[in-house]
Amino acid sequence: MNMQQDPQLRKKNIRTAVILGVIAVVVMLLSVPFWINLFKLAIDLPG
Amino acid sequence: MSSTVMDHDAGHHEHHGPPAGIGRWLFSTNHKDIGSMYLIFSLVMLFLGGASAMVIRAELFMPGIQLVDPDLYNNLVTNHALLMIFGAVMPAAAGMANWMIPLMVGAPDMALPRLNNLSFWLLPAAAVMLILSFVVPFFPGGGSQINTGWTLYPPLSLQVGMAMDFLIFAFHLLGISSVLASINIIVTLLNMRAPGMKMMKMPIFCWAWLVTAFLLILVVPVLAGGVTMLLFDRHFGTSFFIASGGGDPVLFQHLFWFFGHPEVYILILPSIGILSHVIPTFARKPLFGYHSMVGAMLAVASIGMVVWAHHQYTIGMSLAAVNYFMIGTIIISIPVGLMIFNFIATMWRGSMTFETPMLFAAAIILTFTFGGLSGVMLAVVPADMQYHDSMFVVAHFHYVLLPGAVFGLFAGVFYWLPKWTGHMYDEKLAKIFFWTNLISFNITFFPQHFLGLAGMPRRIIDYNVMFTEFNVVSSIGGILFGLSHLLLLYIIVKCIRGGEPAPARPWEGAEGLEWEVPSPAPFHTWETAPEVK
Repeated sequence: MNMQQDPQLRKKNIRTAVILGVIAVVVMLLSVPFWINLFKLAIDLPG
Repeated sequence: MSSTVMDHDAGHHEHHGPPAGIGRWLFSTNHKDIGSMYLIFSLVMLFLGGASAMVIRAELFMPGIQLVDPDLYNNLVTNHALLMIFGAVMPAAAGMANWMIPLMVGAPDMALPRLNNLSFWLLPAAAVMLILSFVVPFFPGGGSQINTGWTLYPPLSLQVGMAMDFLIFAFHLLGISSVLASINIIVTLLNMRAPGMKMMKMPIFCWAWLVTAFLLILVVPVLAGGVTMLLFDRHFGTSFFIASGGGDPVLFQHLFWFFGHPEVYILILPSIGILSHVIPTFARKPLFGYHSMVGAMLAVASIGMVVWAHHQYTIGMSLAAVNYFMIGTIIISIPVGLMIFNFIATMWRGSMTFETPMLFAAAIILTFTFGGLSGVMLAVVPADMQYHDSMFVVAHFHYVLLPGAVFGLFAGVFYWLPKWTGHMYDEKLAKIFFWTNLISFNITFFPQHFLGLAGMPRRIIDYNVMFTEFNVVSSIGGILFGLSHLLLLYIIVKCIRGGEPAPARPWEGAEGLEWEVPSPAPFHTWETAPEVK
């Protein structure tokens, strides 16, 4: 198993990972007209 | 590149042995164990993908329909591509990254070891989904077989049975695994480098993976969005890609190729990184143009992200759009050419020896360049109108991806096997493997250029009798090519089981931190960071 990381380094690693994860999620949401069309669907729904 | 090591502690921690039993692998957070699991996984997938390719080539041996029915043929074509791209090549490159990046940058492990474990174990789950997507139609009520090819274009992909849903979920799992692995690699490279190792001192393999990982983070989520929309169209009444509902199937093509084209560079760049170590080692010269190599990789990645629609010239884009995509695509040949010239300049007047990794490197320079040249032909719009969807395209991308990605990974396997196993591999057998592999590869794919130029379409089970001769040659080559990989398996198993003990630095010209640790690399390395001058 792995060795214990220095707590400060561990914090820095997690912070960098979270930033990269957020970038990935933002790319997914922005690159796809998913929400626009979902919105359209919601408007067109009968009733 | 970093070269001087002040201190290292490899070998001081052999008493911290690996845990025993299956738990060692299930719960592993050790980068070497996870790297090994990635590599074994990719080898299994290579053989599954290879088996489907051999059935395809056996079917195409003669005109007419002999071995499989058209639906199964289309299923096999889809399955072969997905297994090879997502099952074999990407995990193999990730396995090498796991094994080598911490060793190369002087880090004790990857930055986020538990995330590393998760990234790997998502893969077998994805592979199960992928294989289910292939076999589910054979069960009662399983629906129709997947006939879309790896591109999953609607409207066809909207009409396939439940197998497509398995495939969509496989894509989701593969995407999550890739993004998590990429995050881990980037964090390791940014935060875990040994003191003194500045970014521009990082080994080129690490640079190649840094660029690849960023590419993955930027394009895989787009594919995830695209296939999710496909899933919604299939089951939740949306019409993103359904023309009758106001949607547009071409939108999916754009989303797919926004991922699909950079994917080519995702597959190739790690191998370029491997070559950047193999060639200097066996030419006994430093890499020519380290900085330009880094620049070229960044240029390939950034230009590669904005030329996706050259896969879609025939859909009826405006003249301005096709001009833009054509010019952009041709411009990519400049940084790629720069990499090739750097490799040749590194070899120039070097004291070269041709051990198996170097043989693969030399073969890559020749065959990958050839694939690049047919790529320039395909980039030219009026010419592409003729070549599109023909066997010429099949020949082109196999000439790009087999040398550019797979041969590069083979070079890496032979280059690093002594470090991984502690034994030298059988050089004589490895050279036999190289020559059979290279020759049979060319016998398989070279004739396909002529078939395509003569008008044989791709992804069709049957063909006109006028194409018979070249198909016979291609199929014989294909079967030989497939079988040659059994020799690779034998060489690897033999090397793991024993052989001449490998020294810490088995290659005279090899440089870098990874060669400072003993062979095989101990379970824990660089617990005290080395200092790089």
